[in-house]
Amino acid sequence: MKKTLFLAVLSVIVFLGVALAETGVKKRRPLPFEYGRVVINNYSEGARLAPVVFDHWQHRMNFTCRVCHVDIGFAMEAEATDIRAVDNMSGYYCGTCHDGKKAFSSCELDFGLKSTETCDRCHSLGKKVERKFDFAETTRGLPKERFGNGIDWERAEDEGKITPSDYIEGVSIKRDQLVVQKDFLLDAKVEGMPEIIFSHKKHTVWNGCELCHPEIFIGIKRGTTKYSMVDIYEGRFCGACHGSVAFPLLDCQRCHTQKVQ
Amino acid sequence: MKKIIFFALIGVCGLGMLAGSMFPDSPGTVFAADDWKQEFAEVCGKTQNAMEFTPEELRSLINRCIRLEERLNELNGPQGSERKVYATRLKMCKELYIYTLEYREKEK
Amino acid sequence: MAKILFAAVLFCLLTAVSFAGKIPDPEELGKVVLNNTSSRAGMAPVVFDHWLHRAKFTCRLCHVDIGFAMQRGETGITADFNMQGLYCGSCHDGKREIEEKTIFASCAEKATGEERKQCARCHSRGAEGQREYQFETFTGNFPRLPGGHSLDWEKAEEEGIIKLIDFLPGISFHRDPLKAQEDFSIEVTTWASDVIFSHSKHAVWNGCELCHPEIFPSAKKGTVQYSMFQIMRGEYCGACHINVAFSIWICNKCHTKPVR
Repeated sequence: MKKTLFLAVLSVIVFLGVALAETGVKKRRPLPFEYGRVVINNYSEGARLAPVVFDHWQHRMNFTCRVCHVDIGFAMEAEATDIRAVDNMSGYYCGTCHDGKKAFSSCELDFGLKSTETCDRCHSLGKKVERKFDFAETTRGLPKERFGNGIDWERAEDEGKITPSDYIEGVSIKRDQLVVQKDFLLDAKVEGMPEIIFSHKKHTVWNGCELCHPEIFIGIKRGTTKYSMVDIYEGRFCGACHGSVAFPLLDCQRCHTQKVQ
Repeated sequence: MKKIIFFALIGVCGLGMLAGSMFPDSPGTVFAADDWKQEFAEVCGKTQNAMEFTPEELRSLINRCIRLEERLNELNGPQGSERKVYATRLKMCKELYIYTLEYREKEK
Repeated sequence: MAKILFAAVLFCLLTAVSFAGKIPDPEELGKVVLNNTSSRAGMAPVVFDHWLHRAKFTCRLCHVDIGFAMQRGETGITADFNMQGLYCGSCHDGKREIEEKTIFASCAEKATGEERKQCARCHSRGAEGQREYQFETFTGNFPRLPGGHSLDWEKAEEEGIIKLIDFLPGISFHRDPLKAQEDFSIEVTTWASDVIFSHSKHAVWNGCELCHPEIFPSAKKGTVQYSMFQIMRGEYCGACHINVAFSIWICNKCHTKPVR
C-alpha cells in the first residue's frame, strides 16, 4: 500500500515535471500570424468579457512603434498599461484611434447583445472570431524572412510596400528630424560567434529615443551595463522587443553578422 | 517722527516678506487650463535632439518637466485617463533628458 | 564474501538484461501518435514514423524551418493549418516535388470514399500495416550500431546511403553557417565516464536554433545544470535521445571518455 502510494506520488511529480518543464524541451513556436500576440486581461473578465487579444502585425504595418509606445503611452509588457474601457471611451490608449472616426469604436459602458460583434473584434480570447483582415491575404506581397511573422519589415518599408505612420494628429508632437547616433560593435561572449553590429539608425527610425532610453538600456556609455544572452532570453535589454514582437532571438545571424577577423 | 516712520516701513516690509513666504515657490510659469499641453509639446517635442543640448539646456528642460508633473497631479476625476497617459509620456521624456545629462556629465 | 560476489554478478546481469530490453525496436523508435483533433473529427489518430523523414531531411528542416515542436501534442497541428501550407502542409500540398516525386496532399475539407484512403496514409492508428514504404526493405542495407540492433544514421550518411535535404524553397532561408563550437567533455559526477559532446556532429543535422536557446538555454558550458533524471524525463539530451535519436540506453555512445 505504502509502495503504491509512493510510486503514485513519484509518477505525479515526474509527470508534472515533464508537463511543466520550461527549459530542456522544445515547445511550440508561434505561427506567423500569432507572433506578437498579446493577451490583455486587467479588467475584461471582471466585466464578463473575453480577454483582449491584440496581434501586433496589423498595427505594425501602419504605425511606427514610437507612436503607440511613446505618443499614446502603451507599456511594453502585457497588462502593464492598465487600460480601462473608460480610458478608451475618453479617447486615450486604444480609443486614440478607435473612436468610431479613425477606426471602429472601442468600448462603451452600455454594451449588450447589440454590440457583441464590435466587442468581439478585440475581446476574442477563446472565441471563434473571424478577423476582418486575414494575415496571409494582407501580407501577401511583402518580402519574407525567417521566423517571427515571417516578414522582413525593414525591407518592406525600404521597398515602400508599407508606410508606417509616425504622427497622429492631436496626440503626437510635431518634431524636427531625429539626429541619429552612430552604429557600433558589440562583442559576443562566446568565442567564434560573429560580433554584433548594433544599428542605432535602424532602431530609431521606428522607436525614437525614449522608447529604449533609459528604461530598457540604462547604461550611459556602451559597456557600462553588462548583460548576456541569458538576460536577453528572459526579456530584458534586446529581449524586450526581440523576444516577442520584433524578429525573434531564434534568428541568431540577424544580429550576429560581423565575422570575427 | 522719523524713527516711527522708519520702523513702520520696516514693519510693513516684514509683513510683506511674511506674506510672501506663505505663498508656495513661484513655478516660473503658471498654467491656465489646457496651456500645459502646449508646454508639454514644447518640452517633450525636443527629445530627438537630446544629444545636441548643453547640460544647462538639459537642466532647464528637466525643470520644466518637473513643473509639468506638478500640474498633472492636479488633474483628477474624469480626467484620470488624461493624467495616466500624460504622466507616462512625461516620465519618458524627463528620464531621457536626465539620462542624456548624465551622459554629458560623464563625458567631461 | 562469496554471497557479495554472487549478488554483484546477479545485479550486473539483471541490469544488463533490463537495459537490453529497454532499447527500442528500430522500427518503433521515433513513432509519434498525434491526436489533437483527429478523434473529434471522426478520423483515426495520426501515426508519424520518424524513420522515413529522417532518411530524407535534416532534423533542422522540420523542427526549425517548418516549426514542429518536440513534445507530444505540443505543436497543435490541425487540418486547417495543413491546408494553409503550414506544418505537414509545407510539403504535403499535392504540388511540392522532392526527388522528382510529387508529395501527396494532406487534409481536405471533404473527402469521398476513395479519397479517404489517402487520409489513411497518415490517420492510420490501428491499421499500421498499409504503408507505401516498408521499414525492412527501406533500411535493409543501413549500417547498424554495435549490437546489430539500432540503425547507425551517422554512418549511413557517411557512406552515402542517405543524402539529407536541408533546404526547402519557399520555407527555408539561406544563412551563412555559424562556426561550429569545439567538442568538449562534460564531467559526470557519478561512477559513469565523462561524456564527450560533439557540437559538429549535432550541428550537421540540427543547426544551432534547434537546441539553442529552448533546449539548452545557455551558450556557456556549465550554466545549466542537469542530470540523468531530467534526461530520462525527455529534457535536454532526452529531448531527442529518448524517442528519436539513438537510444539513451546505449550508454557508451555518449559516455565514451575512459574512466581515469
